[in-house]
Parts: sequence; structure tokens; C-alpha cells
Amino acid sequence: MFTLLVVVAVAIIIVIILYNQIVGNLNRAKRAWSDVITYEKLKQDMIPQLTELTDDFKEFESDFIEKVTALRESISVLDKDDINLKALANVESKSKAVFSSFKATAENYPELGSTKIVQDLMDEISDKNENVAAAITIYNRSVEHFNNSIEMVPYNMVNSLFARKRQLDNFYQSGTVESYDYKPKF
Amino acid sequence: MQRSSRNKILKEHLGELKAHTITAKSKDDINRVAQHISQFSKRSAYSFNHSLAIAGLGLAVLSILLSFWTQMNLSYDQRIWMRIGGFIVGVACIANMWIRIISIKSIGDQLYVRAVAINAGMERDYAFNGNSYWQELKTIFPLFNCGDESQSITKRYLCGVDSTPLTLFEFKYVNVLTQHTTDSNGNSRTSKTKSTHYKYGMLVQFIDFNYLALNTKRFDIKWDSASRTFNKLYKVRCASEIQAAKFFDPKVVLAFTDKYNFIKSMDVNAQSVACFELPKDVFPTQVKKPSLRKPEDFVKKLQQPARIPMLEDAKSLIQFINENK
Repeated sequence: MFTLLVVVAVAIIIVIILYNQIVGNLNRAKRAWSDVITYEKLKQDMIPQLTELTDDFKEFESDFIEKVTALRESISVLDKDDINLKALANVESKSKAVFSSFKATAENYPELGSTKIVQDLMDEISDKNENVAAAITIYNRSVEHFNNSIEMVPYNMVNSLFARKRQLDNFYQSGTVESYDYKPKF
Repeated sequence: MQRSSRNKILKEHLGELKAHTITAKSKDDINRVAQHISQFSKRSAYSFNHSLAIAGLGLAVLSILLSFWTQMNLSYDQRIWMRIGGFIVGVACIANMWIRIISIKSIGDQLYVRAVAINAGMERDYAFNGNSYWQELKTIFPLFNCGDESQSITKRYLCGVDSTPLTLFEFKYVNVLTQHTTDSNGNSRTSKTKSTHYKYGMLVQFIDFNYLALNTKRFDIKWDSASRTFNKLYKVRCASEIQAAKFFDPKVVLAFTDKYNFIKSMDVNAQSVACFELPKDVFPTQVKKPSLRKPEDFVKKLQQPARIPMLEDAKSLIQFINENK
């Protein structure tokens, strides 16, 4: 009888540990997502500067301000608590459109590209994009770890019986993270 | 006569090389030493003439063997003295040969390490007292607060990256394990086991980068990132969470996880002096060294010494911190 009680107690402890690990992994993935959103939203800080530039320099294409507005709108949809990969993909494509247009203009007009304000803005854009790419990479790794933790034995049994968490999707978009310098060492 | 002059010439030549291991400052100096070795190797080999030691060893062995030969008309005391004498002469001859062989290897190694250090832009610093330097560092960084005896900074190299100076150090300490045992008769005995350990790392003077520690219990506040791999590699402690969160943005977290995961610990004090513990490969003494007994190969490698990839990574880490602090 005592042995049976010990076995049951050990089983309960194991289930609790596995359950907590699943929840912990999900929360870490959510935190990684929240970091992605934080760094995406930091791009909004640059929008007033970009708008000011279009007012000061006629070299920018006429639809540049529209691209900037579209970026601002897409960023405002992002929510830290809701993992919405479509919304993130939308922001990334809008962001790419704005920054490609900005870069192309700076390259086509060297006198504009060499001004300090444009140089500083380009450095800031590059830094923000690197941080977003890194945050997405961390998010993808957290998602992979979480998905493994609900699919592998014996976690899958604990998940199907108690936790009932569903798989998360990785974020992938061409040109977002593959150009990132740091590759994992296997 | 020829034997003694050959040994004398080689000994003098090794003395000159030993002086170069300390005085060589530039690649030109190393090239001059390489030419010197090349010229010497045309006249003489890098091996001592051991014929006298071999003859002495032969006599010692013969003396010991004869002491066991019962047909020899010798007293017990004479036999014992023959064995003792044979043993002493034999050991002295072997030690003589061993010291000479080792002296060639040691000077060759020192010279090559010097070439590697010069090639990496480092300068060996002899102007410090190992024990008092350790005492000084112990009051600043907890990393040096270990070991039971013989703690000392045994080697120090100075170099820099961009305008940031850095000092590489080798820290030696001895752990003493005391065991008390009691036998069946109730007699207690104490035995001590000593083990020597080394730590390698670098000290860097940053500007406006402070109050942060990785894998070191300096500050009370803990911080962790969203990356599980980073959290497994490093335990971050800081003076304020916001400071850690500002430095460890996703780009930095990922770089520390994937590119700079060789850091064993990092400790940055209030004065922006950082102490990194690094793998031993960061030291030039840890590179594979060619043998001076093969002069052609040695000269070739002396002129094109090995790189120290770990040091290059460490320098890149300093640049990265300067760019992102």
C-alpha cells in the first residue's frame, strides 16, 4: 500500500513538473513575441523624422508619404498579447517598402544621402531592423522549443490530458531573418 | 674536444635565442632570429652530443650488473656501494640528457610563442609582481577570490582593439583538500591533496559601460531574456533591470548566444573595467608549437606563426560591446 502511494506521489510530481515546463515554454514564446512587437513599435519613433524628410526634400517619390502612413497603420494593429503572424508579416512588408524606397532615394541622390540627418536615420533604421530580425529569430527558437515540448513523449501525454496547449507557428518571410549574421552552431 | 665544442656552441646559441624570446618586439626581430636559426642549422644540428652521458650511463649499468655477479670476489659492502654509485651516476647521466633535450624544446617553444604573440599584436609584460597583482585584482573582481594557496597572476599580455586597451592574464591557484581518516585502532590521520588550476581571461577598460555581470554574483538584481539558450548559458546580474534590458536587446542576446558563447563569465564594475573569463585557447602559450629540432619547419612556422582565433573572437566581442553599449 505504501509503495503504491509513493508511486502515485512520484507520478503526480512528474506530471506537475512537465505541466509547468509546458506552461513555462509557452510563456517564454509569448515573451519573445512581445519583444518582437516592442521592437516593431519602436519603428514608429522614426516616422515623424521620415515625414519631416519628405517635406524638406523634394527628391522623395510622391507615394513615399503614403508608404509611411501605411507602415504606421500596420504597426498600430500589432498586439503584444495576441500572436498574429499575418499582422507581423504585413508590418514587415510595409516596413520593407518604406525603407527600400528611402534607401533607393538616398542612393540616387548622393547629395541627399550624404546629409547627416539621412545618414543618422539610415543607421537607426538598420539598427531597428537588426533588432527586429534578432527578436524574430529568438521568437522562432522559442516556438520550436515549445512545440517540441508539447509533441515529445511524455510531454504530449501531459499536454493532451491536462495542459491542452496548441502548436504555435513560426514566422517566416523572405528577406526578414535569413540575412541575419548569426547562425546557430549545431 | 669536438664534442665539447659542439655542445658549447649549441649552448651559447640557445642562450642567444633565449635572450631573443624576451627582447624580440617586432616581426622584423622574429625574421632576424629565423635567419639566425637557419644559418646555425647549416653548420650544426639542434641536438647535443650525449656520448659522454651515454658512456657514463653504460658504466653505471655495468657497475650495477657486476654487483649482482656472484663470481666476482667482492664483499657485501662493496656490492652495495657499487649499486648506489651506479644508480647515482645512471640517474645523473639520464637527467643530464633530459635537461639538454628539454632546454632545446623549451627555448623553441618560447620563441614560437613570442612570434605568435607579436603576430597577434600582443606584448608580454614582465613588469609586475604576480602575487601582489592578484591581491589587487581580488579586491575588484570575485573571479580571483578562489583557491587555498599559491594564488598568483603568472602571465600577462598587453594588447588593444581600436582604442580600447586590454590585458590578458593567466591566473594560477591551488586547491587543498584535507581529509581526516581514522583507522580501526582509533588513530586519526590527516592527508592533504593539492591540485593546481588555471583561469584565463582579459581585463578591458571600457567607457560608460558598467554595473553588469554574467555568471558572476556581483549584483543583487537578476535579469533574464526571452531566449532560453541565452538564459541557459548566462545568469545575468545587474544594478538595475532597465540597464540590463537596454544593453541586452535581441541583437546582443543573439550575438552572445551564437557568436560569443565562449565567454565563461563577464564582470563589469562601476569604473567600467570589465573582467572576462575565457577559454585557455585565448593565450598564445596554448598554440601547437613546432620543434626546433626540425629547423627548416621551425623557421617556416616562425615566419608565419599561427593565429589565435579565440583572441580574434575576443577582440571582436570588445568591438561589438563598444558598438552596442
